[in-house]
Amino acid sequence: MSGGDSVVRGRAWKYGDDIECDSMTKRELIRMRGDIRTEAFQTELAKHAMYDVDRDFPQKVRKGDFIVAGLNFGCGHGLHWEVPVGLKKLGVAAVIAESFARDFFRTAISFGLPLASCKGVTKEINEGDELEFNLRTGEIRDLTTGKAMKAVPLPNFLIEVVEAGDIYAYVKKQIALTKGERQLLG
Amino acid sequence: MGMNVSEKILAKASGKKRVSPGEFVWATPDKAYMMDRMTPTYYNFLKEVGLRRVYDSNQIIVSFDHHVPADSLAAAERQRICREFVREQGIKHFYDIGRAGINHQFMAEIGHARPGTLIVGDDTHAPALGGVGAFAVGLGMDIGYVLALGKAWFRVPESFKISITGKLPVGVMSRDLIQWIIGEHNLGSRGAVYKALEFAGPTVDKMSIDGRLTLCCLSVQSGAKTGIVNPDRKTMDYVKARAREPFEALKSDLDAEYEEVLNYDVSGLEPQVAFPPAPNNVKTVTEAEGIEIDQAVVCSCAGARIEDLRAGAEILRGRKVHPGVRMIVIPVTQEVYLDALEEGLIKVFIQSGAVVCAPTCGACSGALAQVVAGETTIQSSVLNSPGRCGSPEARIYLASAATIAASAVNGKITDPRKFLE
Repeated sequence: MSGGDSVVRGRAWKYGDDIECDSMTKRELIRMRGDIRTEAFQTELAKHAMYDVDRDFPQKVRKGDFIVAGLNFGCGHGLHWEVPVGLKKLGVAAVIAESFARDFFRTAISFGLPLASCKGVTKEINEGDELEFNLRTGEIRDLTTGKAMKAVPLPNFLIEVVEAGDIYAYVKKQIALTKGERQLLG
Repeated sequence: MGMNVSEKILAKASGKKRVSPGEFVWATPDKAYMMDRMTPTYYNFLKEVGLRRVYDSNQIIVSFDHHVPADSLAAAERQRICREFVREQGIKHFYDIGRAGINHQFMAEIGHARPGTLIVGDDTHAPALGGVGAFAVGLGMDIGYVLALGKAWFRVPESFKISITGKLPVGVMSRDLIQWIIGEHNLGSRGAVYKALEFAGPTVDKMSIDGRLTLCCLSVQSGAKTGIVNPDRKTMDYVKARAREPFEALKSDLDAEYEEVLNYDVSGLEPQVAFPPAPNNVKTVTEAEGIEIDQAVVCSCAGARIEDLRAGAEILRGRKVHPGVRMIVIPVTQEVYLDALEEGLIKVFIQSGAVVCAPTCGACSGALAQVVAGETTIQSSVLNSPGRCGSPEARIYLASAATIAASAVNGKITDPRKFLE
């Protein structure tokens, strides 16, 4: 999703409803409160992405692939930012789900992992389908079946957060643009 | 068409005439509070983005609650960094050890959370403050950029109006009520995901501020964004003596819109117990009776206010904690601790064989009173996921202070009404 290219292509990896935030990494990695700004810790998180959900995930996923999931994705302790950081580092292009848990939605956006809510997505898309997703419009095309869907697109300022890389980069950019006056453009 | 209280607060804080559910806005929180454990991380954020000063030092509150008093060298070091941050930034709303309590309740008690204000905290259970008519949410790491920008983004939630009628029977507390709503009434972890729950009706009107704070605090466990009660005379009486800055008590319009209106009658309600592994796995105390326990803890931002301590002490007065049980009581704030002392409740706890600890998140966040594999604990904590209180092989049950005290006496989960008839 870098370089302003808002259309991404990749395969779909499907999961069910109520995927708990903490189950998407090795719980010890949350407890150790590592420094998520370091390459080493991010790599460790990537290696253990989806740990209690799908142990093979880090091996089978390719950069640009999508997670497609059901209702209430990221529920439980959704403020644990280790999870979105790990998924992003691994190269997951976006999570497209029927709905998201509130804390996870906020945290994932701030750490630059694109999310899209799309009703009916788990019925329409099969595991392994090739997808094309437009972050700006929310349009999803299933290239394997030819089906088209539309997710609720993120508002522009959150797309800017995601495209900046994360909230750190976004805030730095805002400060630079306003010469330290910290006025928000969004 | 009118607006509900949540929409009104978000509209005001974002400088708009009106906002609608689903809309994203930038809004200026009235207050942003942060705790000892995580504040150093937000301080680093500020440094990393290259800012020397926070946006508005009057907006920020630093208050210690997770490790009180510091229980490790790492915790002590984090608290040292907090003090350095507070000094450097000239933050006057700073509450060190001995001046505070669990933040989600303390912010109401100390008068920072007021009706009509937008309050953000760094931790999950900030919505407790809806009990005094504030729109309150936990932001996690996002509080870091509130330091930098003075603002945060919000998605305006759809609202559910939850209207409650009926008198709560003796031995049944607001804690039971909210556990029952979460468990039994289609507000499992999905039904209310991302919604604002507006509690109303005669039962809520009659409920104390203590009860309302508990109601709003645990609303999070239904997946909701927040819980809120429209301010009434009771709220104003509570807040006016405490508020440190002016406020406008916003209320829902009579023709406000709700995604759903749910009506519940609680007149026949039984005490409720949440079974492992999740707070929405709720059953009646009758179904839980007889489960042997090793530990009983009255604690947390959702079960250790004066009303809870009174309920626990009423059962423990003249009785002893079962020899096979260790009981721990952690008042939610210093003020509640002092009230309990003056009312003689602390004496009751100590004479019954319970240990009383300083106000802290401790036993709920897993830093204090851990349980080992194979043990069972019953607590008024907010969460009971495996590993939350020590070993993942320990079982955690959640209940009201009354049920916990009754269970502590018998050594097994017990219906508190047996002690109150």
